[in-house]
Amino acid sequence: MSSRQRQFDALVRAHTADLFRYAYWLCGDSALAQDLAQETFLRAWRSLDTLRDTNAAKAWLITILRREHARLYERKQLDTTDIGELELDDRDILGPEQIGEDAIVRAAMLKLEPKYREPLLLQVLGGFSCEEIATELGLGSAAVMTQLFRARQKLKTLLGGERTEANA
Amino acid sequence: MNCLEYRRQLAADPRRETPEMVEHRRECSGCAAHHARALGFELQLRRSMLIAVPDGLAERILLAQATVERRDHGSQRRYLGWAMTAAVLLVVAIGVIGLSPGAAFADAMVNHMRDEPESFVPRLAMPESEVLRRFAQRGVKVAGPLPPGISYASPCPVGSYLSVHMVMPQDDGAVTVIYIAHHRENERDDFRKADVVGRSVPMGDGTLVLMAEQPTRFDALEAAWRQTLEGGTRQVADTQ
Repeated sequence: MSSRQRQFDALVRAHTADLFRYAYWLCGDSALAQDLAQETFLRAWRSLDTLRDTNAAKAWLITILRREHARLYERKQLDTTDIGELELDDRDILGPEQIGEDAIVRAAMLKLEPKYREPLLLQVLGGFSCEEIATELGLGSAAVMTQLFRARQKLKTLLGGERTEANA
Repeated sequence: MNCLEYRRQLAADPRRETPEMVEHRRECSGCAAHHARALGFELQLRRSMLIAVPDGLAERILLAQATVERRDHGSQRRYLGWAMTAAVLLVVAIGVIGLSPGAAFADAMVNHMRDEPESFVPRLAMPESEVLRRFAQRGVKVAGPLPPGISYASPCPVGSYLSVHMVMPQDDGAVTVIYIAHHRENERDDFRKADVVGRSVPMGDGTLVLMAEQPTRFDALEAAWRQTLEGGTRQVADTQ
């Protein structure tokens, strides 16, 4: 196996989960998210030689994924998925109450406008700082901080409504 | 730092506190409690985002990549003989007629089109505003209305050129339209590369390239794009 192929294998195994989840929260569809993750890696393979810094691999892949998603979005309006179809990673160790809570949070996440959801994903799932998110999204740091603040506010507002409905 | 400032900053990034924020939290029991609640919310948020990854996804991706790689290598081997023959013919052609500077340009266009097969996926026409946005991204000001029926538009780099890569489905097959921004070829050129027929025309501040299996719609599309890019003030003969 060539060193290039080994590098690619390691990249796929290290980042598939993150990319799939990021893609899912962008498009709201599990099958589409798998396609997006696969297409992202195929494009990454073609330009693997441009990746110089392994610490930048995740950001590099997410940039490719966002571009792929934007292209896809240009082609068709995406349907949202039924949140009930999702499976939890750790269903066996969570109680029914936590599973219910997670489902409510997920439904609320999918209702967030993309301009609020995307920086939140980069921060919570990607672990990126405000400055890194600003670079990725082509925004100023202050604008990103405002979006993140509003994203959480809106999410909490949505959750207030969801929980009230769930408890009714 | 006051409580409002602390809470605003905390809501923007709950996992990162500046020294000033830590100092404030230690002195303010209300914000300490708020910090604890914020971290609890973050934990729940992260747990909710960690949806299950489909079994075998990484393996399927590696399989797809290996398949593409094998197919490409197979194609390379198949065409090696042809390529060597073509190389010999090219050397002869250069010796006889000299290398056309337009040939490299046409090659770059055809190669780019082939490298983006997803552009041919059938889809509805894009909104005009979206296509215009691609032109604006390339710094191209459009003079007239866009020709209708653009199903794909992407601001692509083509070698060292900046382009807007589009596809226009026609009755007899799709026509790829690439507008190279801010680069005018010296002259109009009709070319053929394997099964691709093409035409490049200096237009506006750049060069319009049309490619398809059949050139039947080239004249009409050229006229339509001239109307779009130049406002119809110039005639085709001007560039010939």
